[in-house]
Amino acid sequence: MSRHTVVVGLLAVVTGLSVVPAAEAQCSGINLVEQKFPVTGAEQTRWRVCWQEQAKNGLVITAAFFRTDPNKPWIRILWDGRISEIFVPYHDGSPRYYDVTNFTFNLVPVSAADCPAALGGATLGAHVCKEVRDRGLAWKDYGQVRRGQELALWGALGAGNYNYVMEWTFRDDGTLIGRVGATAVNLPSKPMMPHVHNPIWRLDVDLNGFSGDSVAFGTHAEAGPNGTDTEPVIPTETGKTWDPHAFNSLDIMDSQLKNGHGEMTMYRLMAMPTGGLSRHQEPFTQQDFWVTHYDPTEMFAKDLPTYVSTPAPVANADIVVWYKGSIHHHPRNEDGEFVSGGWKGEALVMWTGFVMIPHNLFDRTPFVP
Amino acid sequence: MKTRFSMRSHAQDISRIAIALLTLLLVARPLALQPPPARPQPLDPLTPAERRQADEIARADGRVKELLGAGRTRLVYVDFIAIKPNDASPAPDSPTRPMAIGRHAEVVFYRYDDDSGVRAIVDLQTRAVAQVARIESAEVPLNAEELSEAMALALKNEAVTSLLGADAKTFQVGDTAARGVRPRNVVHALRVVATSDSDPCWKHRCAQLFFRRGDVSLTDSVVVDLTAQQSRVERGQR
Repeated sequence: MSRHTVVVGLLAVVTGLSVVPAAEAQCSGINLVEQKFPVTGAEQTRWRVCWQEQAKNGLVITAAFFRTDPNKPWIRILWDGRISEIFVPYHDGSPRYYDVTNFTFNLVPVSAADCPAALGGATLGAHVCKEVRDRGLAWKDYGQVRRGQELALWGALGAGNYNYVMEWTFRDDGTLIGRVGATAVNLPSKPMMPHVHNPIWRLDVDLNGFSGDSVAFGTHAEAGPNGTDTEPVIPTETGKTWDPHAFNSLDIMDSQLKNGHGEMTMYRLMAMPTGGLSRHQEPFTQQDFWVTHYDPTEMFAKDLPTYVSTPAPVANADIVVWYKGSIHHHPRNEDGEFVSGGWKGEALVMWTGFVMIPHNLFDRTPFVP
Repeated sequence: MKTRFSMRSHAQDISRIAIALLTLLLVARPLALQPPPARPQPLDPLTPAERRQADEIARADGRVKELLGAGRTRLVYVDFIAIKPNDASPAPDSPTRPMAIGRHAEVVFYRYDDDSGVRAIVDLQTRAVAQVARIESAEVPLNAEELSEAMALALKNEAVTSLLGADAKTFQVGDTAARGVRPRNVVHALRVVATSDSDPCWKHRCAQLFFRRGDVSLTDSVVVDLTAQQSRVERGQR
């Protein structure tokens, strides 16, 4: 290390300046979040995330990079991640709300009560909470144990009577999790009517840059005593159904991205449902996964069947993957009660989400000696 | 002798570094305390000035003007959009080697006469509209300004003031995000998208208003037709 490096490093520490020059950061201020893991001690891994609050989509991730080692290069994971839609059909057929694209809803305020510092929380501006927290066991082998850590960014979209908690979690092992939680108050005009909240995520995954990506459809099958796993590459734009018995996943890879063993690195997008995934009469709800070619005008989940109607090649291309989750809400007495002339309600949070787990990103896990 | 000389040299080096550090600290500390530079980074949110500029550039564009027509229109929103460069390099980018993406804004308008929208992508660096397209009504969200107008329209309806009672005019449009404090009387709005031509909101811009007084939400609601400038009370579940 040169004397110049030492001096600049010392200066950065002393003055509190970021060691990331502003011109190289891509985003700045509260919109730039960088987190090393473990939180204390020598760095093993690190995330660098840019985020924005946008009308309609709420909390949007505008870039996410991961580093597997302080001496390894950054790897781009996301160009853009957003909740493209939250479709809410009621069981009696109407209304059928499009809670993201029909409104310019904003994130609601968060305070220290939402985001307690004692639990690793810190507010980023008025509407977003950053939590750096323990994530439970990462590994256990009899007397040996390793607990994991994660960075979570969340904000709650004020969607009329509902609040939607939009949470993005970046784990120490490179895992990325997206969740939506529906809460606040049931629809006042029919508060006991069952309904489904369907968040649809649009994930512009750009592993190692935006060209050269492919998506394989992971499927498990059993024949007699034997199990088989297949991962055929998806050649053209399409929708895919998630079968829980087949462990279906979208396996995203880049033609140039390999680990130190020369193994292809993948990110495996998997469903993380609570109870199930719904189907409705609208064609875009007839599939759980979709793969499209990047097009900056293709942002609307309800148009997915149109986007894939003339299927463009998506192998070795700039791809976007979509995932639809579902929250089936059957109101109960805990949702509230009718009082004179009105409804006094409190819909407790229900969640759905997805997880993107790295596969051959590391040469070996850095978390276990 | 050699050792002694080396020690002196080392001590001189340390003192030079210390002096340099202190000097740099004196210079850099005030810089570090200064507000961030006015020029945003590529992925920073749009500044208020950029939003105004995007609106102006879009409205001045001939294609946008043509698509907006001569009837009643509204700016619905201006927001950030990141556009990937066309000349995509296969080389991976990184935080320390970012690609140049410029600054772009998405500007969306609504036109009442034919229930459609116009979406323009504005390149803020070249001060030009990069893309423009007509979009369907469903892709044009209601904005807070329209909700305020809907509430004002509703309050002109005696059936609505009768429903709300003496404090009808104290209800505030529920964009509490901006204020941070929830008023006692709040009105939330959801959009009505008609699914048949028998619905008065068919091809019209409609909002359904829900009223909350303290912890209690009225089950009755009000549907406001912003196109026809009318409202009606809808009875809810009891």
